[in-house]
Amino acid sequence: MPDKPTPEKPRPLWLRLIIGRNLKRTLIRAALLGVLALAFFNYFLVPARVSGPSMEPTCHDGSIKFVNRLAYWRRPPQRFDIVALRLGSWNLWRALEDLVAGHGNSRAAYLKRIIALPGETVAIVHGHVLVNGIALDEPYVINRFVWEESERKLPADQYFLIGDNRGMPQELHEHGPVDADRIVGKMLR
Amino acid sequence: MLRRIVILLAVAGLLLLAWWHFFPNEEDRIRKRLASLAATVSVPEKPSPAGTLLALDRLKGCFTSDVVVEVDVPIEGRHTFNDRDELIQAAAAARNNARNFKIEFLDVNVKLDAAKENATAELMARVNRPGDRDFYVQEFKLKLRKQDKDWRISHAETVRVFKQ
Repeated sequence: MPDKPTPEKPRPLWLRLIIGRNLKRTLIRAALLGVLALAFFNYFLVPARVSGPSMEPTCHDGSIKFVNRLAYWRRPPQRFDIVALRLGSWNLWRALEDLVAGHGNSRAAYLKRIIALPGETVAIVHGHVLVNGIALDEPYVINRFVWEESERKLPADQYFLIGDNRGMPQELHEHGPVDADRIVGKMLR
Repeated sequence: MLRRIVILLAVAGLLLLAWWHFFPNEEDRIRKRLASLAATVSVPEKPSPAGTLLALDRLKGCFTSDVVVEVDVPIEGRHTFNDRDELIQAAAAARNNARNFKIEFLDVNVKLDAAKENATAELMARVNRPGDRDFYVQEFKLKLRKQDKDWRISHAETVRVFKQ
């Protein structure tokens, strides 16, 4: 008479909580979740750590912000948008290569505010921004040093960007015209 | 049957990796060259005189003798190094004044010409001190030329995000 098959011992609760009822399915789900998370946080919503004081008081040094990479899919960037400007190509495969090579996250960006749009003229007089000759109302600027910037007309493919912290020396604050293709997304507040 | 396929795939993968390792293409050779340059220009916490001399010697081999390096960075302004000797002198002075920083070349994009004798590379240089969370980044555009089967930089310039 053949032996009865030995019934499988039930898995302990803690093990079931970790691997679920079926280990293979759990692993497949975890892998899919990992791929989706990677795609989401690289292509759609990119976390960024703020470094430096140029966007104070709006963005504090060391704070974490998120950049919406789909913000300009349907419409162009607008005045007063805080945007991320890429440094480098932001090529995902290069970023993955750098990660695998042990360089960590190799993507870096500037976070700045758009104050003038393509085709407009922009100048800074005694710390105040003039767009097309009219002073811009900037409630987010708390302190102003006496910055001066001669008037210039922006080409069709450039925006003028600047940080909110005008209470610092002008030469220490990176700002100016930027090519439109450098803008990779809009910062979420 | 499935096991045989998996073994065949694994062997094919290993052979491919070995091929890439022993017969790298030109783009890979340029990347390795640039990675080696980044390691060479990094400065340890306590550089020895012998280590410095070796690094400067290696640095010479990374550039053509007529290399032109144009640097235009905020606050420091513009400066041009007109040949390799001038560049190596500046590097030696920089190594004497700065300690313990690491340079990495990231996001390296390489384009070769049809003859595979000239190439351009765009990359981002990241400089930081080990253990420090903050870092400095700068984009570069490089032109490379093949000399004696080795890739060397013939022109380098910084790329400014904010136009003047």
